[in-house]
Amino acid sequence: MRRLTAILLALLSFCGCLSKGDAAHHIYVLSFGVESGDTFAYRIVLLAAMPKAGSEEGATLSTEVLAAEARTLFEAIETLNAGLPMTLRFSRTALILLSEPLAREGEIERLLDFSLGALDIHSNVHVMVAGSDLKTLYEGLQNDADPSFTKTINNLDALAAQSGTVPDGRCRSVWEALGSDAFDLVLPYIGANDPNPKPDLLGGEAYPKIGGALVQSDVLGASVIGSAVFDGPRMVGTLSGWHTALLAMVRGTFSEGRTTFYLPGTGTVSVKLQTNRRTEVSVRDGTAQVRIRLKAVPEYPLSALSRDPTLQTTLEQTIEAELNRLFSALSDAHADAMQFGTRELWQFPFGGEAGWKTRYASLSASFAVHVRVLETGGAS
Amino acid sequence: MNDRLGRFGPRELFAVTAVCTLVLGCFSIRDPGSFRDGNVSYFATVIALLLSVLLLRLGIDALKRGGFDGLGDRFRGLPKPIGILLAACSALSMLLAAVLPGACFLRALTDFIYVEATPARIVLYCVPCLAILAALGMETLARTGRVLLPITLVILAVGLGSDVPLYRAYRLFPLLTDMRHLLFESMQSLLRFLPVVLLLLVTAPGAQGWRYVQRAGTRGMLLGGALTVLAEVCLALSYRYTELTTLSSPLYRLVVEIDADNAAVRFDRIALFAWTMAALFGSGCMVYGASLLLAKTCSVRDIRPVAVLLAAAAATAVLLLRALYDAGWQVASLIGTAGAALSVLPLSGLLGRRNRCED
Amino acid sequence: MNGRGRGHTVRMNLFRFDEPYQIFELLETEPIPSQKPPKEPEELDPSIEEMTARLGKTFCISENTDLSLRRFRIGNRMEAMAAFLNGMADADRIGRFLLAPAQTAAIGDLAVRTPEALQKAVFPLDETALCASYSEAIAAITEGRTAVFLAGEKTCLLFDTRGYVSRSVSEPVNENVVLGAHEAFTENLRTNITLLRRILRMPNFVASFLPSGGKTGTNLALLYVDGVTNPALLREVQKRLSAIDTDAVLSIGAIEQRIEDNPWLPLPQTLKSERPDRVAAALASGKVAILLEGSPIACILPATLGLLFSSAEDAAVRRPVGTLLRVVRAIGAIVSIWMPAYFLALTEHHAGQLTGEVLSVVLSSHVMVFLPLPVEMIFLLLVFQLVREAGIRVPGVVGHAIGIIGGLLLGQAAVAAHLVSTVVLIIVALSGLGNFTIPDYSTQICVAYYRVALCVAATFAGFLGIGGLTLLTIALLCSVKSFGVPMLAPFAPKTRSVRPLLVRGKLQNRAAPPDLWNAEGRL
Repeated sequence: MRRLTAILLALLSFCGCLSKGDAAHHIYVLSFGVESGDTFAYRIVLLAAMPKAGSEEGATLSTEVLAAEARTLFEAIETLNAGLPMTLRFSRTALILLSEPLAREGEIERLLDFSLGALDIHSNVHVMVAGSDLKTLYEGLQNDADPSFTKTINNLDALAAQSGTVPDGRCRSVWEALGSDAFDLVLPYIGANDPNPKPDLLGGEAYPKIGGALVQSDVLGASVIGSAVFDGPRMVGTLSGWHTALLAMVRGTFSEGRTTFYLPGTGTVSVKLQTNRRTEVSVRDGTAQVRIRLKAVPEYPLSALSRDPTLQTTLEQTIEAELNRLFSALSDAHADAMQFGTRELWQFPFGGEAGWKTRYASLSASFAVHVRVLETGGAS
Repeated sequence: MNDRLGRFGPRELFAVTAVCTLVLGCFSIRDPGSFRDGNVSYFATVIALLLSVLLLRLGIDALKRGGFDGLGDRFRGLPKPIGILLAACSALSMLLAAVLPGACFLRALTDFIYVEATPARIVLYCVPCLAILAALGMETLARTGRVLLPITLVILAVGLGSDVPLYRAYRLFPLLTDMRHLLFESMQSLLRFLPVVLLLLVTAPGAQGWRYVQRAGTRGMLLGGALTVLAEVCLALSYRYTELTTLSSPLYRLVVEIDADNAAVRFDRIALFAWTMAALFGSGCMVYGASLLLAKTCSVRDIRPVAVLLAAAAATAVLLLRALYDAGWQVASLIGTAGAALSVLPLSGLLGRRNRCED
Repeated sequence: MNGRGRGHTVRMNLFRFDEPYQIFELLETEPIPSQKPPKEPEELDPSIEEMTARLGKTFCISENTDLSLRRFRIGNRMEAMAAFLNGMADADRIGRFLLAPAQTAAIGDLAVRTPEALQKAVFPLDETALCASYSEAIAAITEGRTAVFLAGEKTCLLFDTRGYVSRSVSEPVNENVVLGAHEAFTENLRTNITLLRRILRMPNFVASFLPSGGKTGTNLALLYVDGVTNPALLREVQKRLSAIDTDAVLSIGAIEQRIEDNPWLPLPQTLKSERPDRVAAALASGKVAILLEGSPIACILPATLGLLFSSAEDAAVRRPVGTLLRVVRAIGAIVSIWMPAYFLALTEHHAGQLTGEVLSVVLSSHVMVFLPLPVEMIFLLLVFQLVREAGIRVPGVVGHAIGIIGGLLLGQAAVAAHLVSTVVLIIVALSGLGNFTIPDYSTQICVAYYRVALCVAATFAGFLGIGGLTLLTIALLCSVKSFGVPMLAPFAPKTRSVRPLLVRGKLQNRAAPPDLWNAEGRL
């Protein structure tokens, strides 16, 4: 009897479910973006996954683009919830987009200043800058082959890890960059495919595209087209995929990628670059010295490249020149995207990073690139 | 007296000590001011660990020389008011050691997992578990610790190891800016580990010999402490001190931000709940230790009602501390620190010889 | 009765208070007259007539026609009477080895015609005993032995003439193995002990007969190897068995529940086996076994969780294979216990943990189902148990059809009718399959209902509920002992002898005796 009483008393502490939510009774927001609104301050655009009951084939999952203008994200969510058949749930949100105008105004810090836990958003969420209208962008990203958006995000993460053509834009790195003076933020730059793209931070012939090609496809409506560089919370420009890869080389996160450049006597060539050695960076006495070691595997045109003795030298000079150009552009924009500030911390173990931005303005950099051309068809 | 102490071997005691040390080391509330001038937590923990092992050895030696079975026996040998006062201080210290990790996990659960639930409902689910664990006794707790230790180690190793690609050495700097800060942090860390020392001294009669207590206790504290240091180093490699000042539940956040290519990418909540189980277990041990001490000192025949009562009190204190969190970390950490400081007092009771024979 | 039926009679009796109440009812409030017979004196009567009368009264001979009282003369000089039960005793054996030699015996040469002398000189039957107790004689007769009462003697002779029909040794029903013996126990206690003696051919293998503690007089055998089994364990078992005092003990399960430390716990603390080889292995390592007449199951104690999860085949296969089998069993048990609750916790509380593809599948399959996921899961788990129970009880011819009906009705048709979703159905099926990898039947049942409790905990509190209940379960298992041996030994507590739970141990020559149950020595 006593045992039964004790069990009954213990059961009293079962006071209902801790959180409501059958998985099937929610609409999962896969991504949401913020841009300036016409009526209210912001327009919140959501890409949501909704199950549809099928007749013969069975139920399917499809994505829908929802939009609402509001003063805050939470206001938009409440408004949308009132009109949808199921409540919105953000536990599957993998991507947050901010429009370029808002990013250039320095709104990123304020717009991300909400508790991700309040919406049950995973801290691993990606943040990107959108170069196009969000509705068009999401319609371009919708893909029947990947209704849950997972594969797209996984592919981007793989690119970030491997080639560095897409920077790592997780929320965590955003907070670290915004909260620290030691380096500046670089986020992926995504947009709808535009036949007339805008020039990037370096100007000139380069334009923001991953891989350098201009997409002309109706199926591929939107894609990552480069990276957005920030000076503190304010976006200051964009970089192409190749220049983002160069940043990765300096930061030490590059492992494998491609470059296309002009080789005198041969023309436009494509070479695969690899590295498995750490980049050596030291920042002393107002100068940053960077040494990068790469392996190059000729790809196109193979026969000409295999016989060309100038490939190594040309490649080294080309990369060094691009790095110098990139550093000048970043320096002019006051954006320490190469994260020299974090290296400087090593030199002053008993000091802080106070005043780094001032010192960065007068920092000079020299880049030494060593390339070893490998035999075609394999790494050593 | 039904003290539910039973008998347990050195391996079981080692497991209990390791888990309790790990839980108290990794999951206690920290004063955000600890990271004001840099992150010295991993240095401070090493110093605190060595000091607490030294205190454990000294305590065992004192009790052995005095011919006492355990700390309860020693307090019973003192004049009654002093004995009760010291026992109450020790019990309060152990209770606070049960409460602090609980408050930490409650915050993580309400902030990240059960956002819609109130803290009281979450605590209500944990109360029966805590009460039953404490009432089952040390023999059961020791064996349970042996089962839990490998699970906790594996979960911790996977969590810390999965984030290796994201660690950056520059986040460690600045290093050791202020020696006074280091000393203060070391003392704070020491106060976190002292309840484990008290637990070992209180439950010594069940360990079948002082040499087992010494051996298992030292090894357990060293293992738990080493893992705590490792976790703190990994935290320091993941977050700069400027972030740690405002970051709540940093160890959980560390596991959350696992690289997407990693197979353990959806591992964070499993890790959190495995740690919650370890914390519940650690709290159960502390509640039991406090109950045993009070029961022995006040000659209560059956420890189980005392254990259930103290478990309920600990749960209430967790809720109170959680409420204080909202008011500010400083107040909560101040209470935690002041309470842990009470564990210093009872160790003074170890001085002196046995006064009279007790049955 | 006037032919109008019972209902008419009841209605008539309700409205007529002077009519006698004619319908038979057994009301609880009516005092039950005491039917206990007066206690018979223990001493035997030297008069054959008196003994006949006493036996007739005890066995209710006017109604009970099984009892045979055969009067005869030994050597044509001495009056005697053989008492036996038809059907229990072998009539042929009685005729050939008892009556025939008795009638033709030349007892005139005997100096003394005492029961001892007659026992040695006249009767060629092998198992004989002298008995001076009436109750002992009655017990012997009910067992199938024959009691021969001699005129003028207060001692009777008991002969083993048991010859009742019983099932022959067959293959095990519930513990099938691929490699290993294919013999199982039967309901005959003597046969079962014989099966064990064929394996353990040692003089110190002891089969001690004890009363089962019930009024039915069912025999119970306590088996152990003297010199190997710890005497303290033996004493404890004997003490608990002797404390049993009840009306009827008809199955080994009744014995088990009366001697266990924690009978309220769903998990058994003894191992029940129908295989002689498994029992023999247990006895050889220092355990104790109990056999009950009429029950083809032996109860082995003490038991640990590792023992409950081990199979009879483990030692018969090679070490790597044995390890793999154990790993598969462990995975099956883990999947069976935690997968349904894990799925519920994920979908109800932690949907963010599901990968996108899995979430798509879950959402798509569940969109038209009206039951909430937790109710659906628990419903299917209970239906699975329903089908299992029905499959056991349904007669053999129809039994095969149940599997087809169960699969059709509860599988495809239920999904097509949107009663259940495919994902939940697959999870329940996998969980059920994993359950069947657990070798011990009682443990299977315990696990089957424990996972329902886990599902409830997961519904209420997600991973916190699962974690809390799992922690409590581990703690409870750590606190439970089986005859002094902790259930989680040798892992918690760690013991000197290393008997790995997952990895099949090496079969070593002259290995040290396991110290889990503190065996006294080794064979």
